[in-house]
Amino acid sequence: MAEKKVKTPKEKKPHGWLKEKLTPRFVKNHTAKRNAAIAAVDLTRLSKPVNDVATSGPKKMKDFSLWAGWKTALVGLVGVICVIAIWWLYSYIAVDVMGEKSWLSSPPEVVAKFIEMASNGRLWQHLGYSVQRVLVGFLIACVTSIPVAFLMAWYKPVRAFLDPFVQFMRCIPPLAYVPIVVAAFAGGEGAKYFIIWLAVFLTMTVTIYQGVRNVDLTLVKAAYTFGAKDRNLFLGVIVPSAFPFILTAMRLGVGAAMTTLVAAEMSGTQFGLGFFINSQGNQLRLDYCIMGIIVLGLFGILLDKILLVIEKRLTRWK
Amino acid sequence: MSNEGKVVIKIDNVKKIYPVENGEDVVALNGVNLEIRENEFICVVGPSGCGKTTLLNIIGGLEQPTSGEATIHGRPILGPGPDRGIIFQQYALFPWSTVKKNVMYGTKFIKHEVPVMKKNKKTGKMEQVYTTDKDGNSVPLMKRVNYSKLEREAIAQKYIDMVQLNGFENKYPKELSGGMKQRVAIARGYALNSEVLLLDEPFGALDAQTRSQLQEDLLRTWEKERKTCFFITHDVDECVLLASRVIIMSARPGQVKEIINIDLPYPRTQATKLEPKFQEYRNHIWDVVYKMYVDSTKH
Ligand SMILES: Nc1ncnc2c1ncn2[C@@H]1O[C@H](COP(=O)(O)OP(=O)(O)OP(=O)(O)O)[C@@H](O)[C@H]1O
Ligand SMILES: [Mg+2]
Repeated sequence: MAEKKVKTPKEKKPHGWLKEKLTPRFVKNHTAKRNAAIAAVDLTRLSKPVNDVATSGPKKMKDFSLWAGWKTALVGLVGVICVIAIWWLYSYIAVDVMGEKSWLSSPPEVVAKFIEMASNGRLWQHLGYSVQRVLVGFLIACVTSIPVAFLMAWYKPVRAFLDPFVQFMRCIPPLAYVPIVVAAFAGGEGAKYFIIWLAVFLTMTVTIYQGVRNVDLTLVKAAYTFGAKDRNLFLGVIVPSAFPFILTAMRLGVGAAMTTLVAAEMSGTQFGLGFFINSQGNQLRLDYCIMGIIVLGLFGILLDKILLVIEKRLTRWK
Repeated sequence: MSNEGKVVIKIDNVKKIYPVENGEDVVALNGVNLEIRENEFICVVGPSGCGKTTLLNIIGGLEQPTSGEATIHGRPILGPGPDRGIIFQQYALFPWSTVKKNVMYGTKFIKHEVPVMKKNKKTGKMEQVYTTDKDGNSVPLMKRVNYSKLEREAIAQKYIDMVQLNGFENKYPKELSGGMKQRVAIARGYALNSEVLLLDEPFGALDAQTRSQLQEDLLRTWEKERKTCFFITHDVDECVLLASRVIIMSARPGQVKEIINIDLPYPRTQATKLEPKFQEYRNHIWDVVYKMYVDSTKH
C-alpha cells in the first residue's frame, strides 16, 4: 500500500498568483468598485416584477422546427426568382443607363448559351471532366481524412505531429499553391486531383477530428465498465458518436471541392467547368461564364442533397 | 451481518483531491475507510457534494485515489471492469442504439462457461468432453465463450420486462422520458450480472410508483442472488428499506460519519416501512443527516 506522493499546496505558489500579478491595477480597481456596488444594492427596495398580461404576457416561443418541404421549396423558388429579376434589371441598367463602361449579360442570353452548349454537347464534356476530378479528389480525401482524423484524435503523438501542418495549410488559399502543384505533377490530371484532395482533406480532417474529440466521456466510462477493450470502445462508441460529424464533414468537403475546382483547372487542361469559367471570364464572355457558374453551382447542390439524404437516413437517432 | 462474509472491496484511507486551476483544490474524500463484504447491500447517504459519486467512481475504477488504496479481493483496483457494474447517475445510454441494443451492450463482452462438445464419430451425435481434475475425478471440460446473440437478446428482454419497458425495445433514447432512460440504464446494469453492482442514485429521477416498484424488484433480485450492492441515495426511507448496512457520509471533506447495521429481516417489502424498527432506523439516520445539514448552514 504505497502512498502516492501528494503535492501539498505549500510547495508551490498559490493558484493564480501569476494572473493576480499580471492583472493591471485599473482592472482590479474596477472589479473592487463593481463588487462594492453589487453589495450595496438594497434588495428590499426592489418592487415585484410587473406581470402585465396586456403588455408583456403570454408570449409564443420561437419555433425552431423546419417548414414542410413544399413550403421551403416554394419560398426558395421565390428567392431565386427575385435574384434573377434583380440580375435581369441590372443587366438593363448596366448596358442602357451606364453606357459603355459597364455591362452584364442578361438571363435570356445566358439561357441561350446554355441551350447552345447543351445541344452541341460541349457543356457535358466540360462537366464530365469536372465531375470526375471532383469525385476522385473527394473520394480520396474521404478515404484519407477519416483515418487521419481518427488517428489524430486517438494518438497524441500523431496529433502533435500533424496538427501544425493542418492548421498551416488551412490558412493558404488553394490558388496560391496551384503553380507549385502543377510544376510538381508536370501538369496532368494528378495535379487537379491533388489540389481538390488537399482542400477537401483539410476541411474534413478538422471537422472529423473535432467530432471524435467531442465524444461524451460518460459513454466511454460506461463502455469500459461493461468490459469493452480499447478496440471495442473505438468501434462501439467513438466511431458511432463521430459518425454524424463524418457526414457533416463530407458535406463541407463537397463545398471545398467545388470551390477549389477553378483553381484546380487553372492550367494544364482544356476541359472542365472550372477551366471553362475561368477562360470565358478572362475573355470577358460573361454569358458563357455565368452559365458555367450556374451549372457548377447546381451540380454542387445536387451532391449536397444526395449527402443530406444519406445523413438523414443514417442518423435517425439524433 | 456486517462481520460475516468475505471482504470483497476494501477502501483503505482513501483521499481524493481534485486540483482546481484558479482556487483551492477540492478535497472530495478525506481518508475514507470501508470494507464491503460479500452479499452485503450497502446504502450510502450524505449531503450533496460530499463525495459519494467520487467514492463510487473509485470503486468502479473510473478514478484513482490521490492517496490510500482501493482493492477488490485484495488486488488494487486499477481500472473499470465487468466485475463491477455501474448504473450511472446520468444514464449514460448510447444515443445511437435502441433500448434493446443498449441493454444488450451490457452482455456484449462478458464470458461464461459452457461444456466442450465433440462429435462422436460412431453415433454421429454431439457428446460432452470430460477431463480429469487434480484429484483424479472425471469432470466436464469447460470453455469460456461470449454469450450468443440470441442469448444476449433473451437476457436483455428479461430485464427490459423487469423495468416495464416492453414495447419500447426499438425506441431510441431521445424518444424516452427521463425516468424511462433511467430504467433502461438500470436494465443494462442488471443485465451485466456483475459480482458487485454500483448504483448512483438509480431511482432519483423516477416517479413514486415506479420507484417503489423498482425498489421491490431490486429487493427480490438481491434476496435471490445476494449480489454485493453499493447503492447511493438521498432518500432515507429508501436506504433503510434496501440496505443491510447504511453508510452516512459527512459533508466536505467527505468522510464516513457513521455506519449502521439494519437488522430488519429480508424479504422486505414496502410494508416493512410500517414496522417500528424501521421507523427507529429512519428517524436516527434522518437526525444524523439533518444535524449535519444544520451544522453546515451555521457558520
Ligand atoms: N472532476 C471534478 N473536478 C473537480 N471537482 C470535482 C470533480 N468531481 C467532483 N468534484 C467535487 O468533489 C466533490 C464531491 O463530488 P461528488 O460528485 O462525489 O458528490 P456527490 O456526493 O455524489 O454529490 P451528489 O449527491 O450531489 O451527487 C464536490 O464538491 C465536487 O465539486
Ligand atoms: Mg453524485
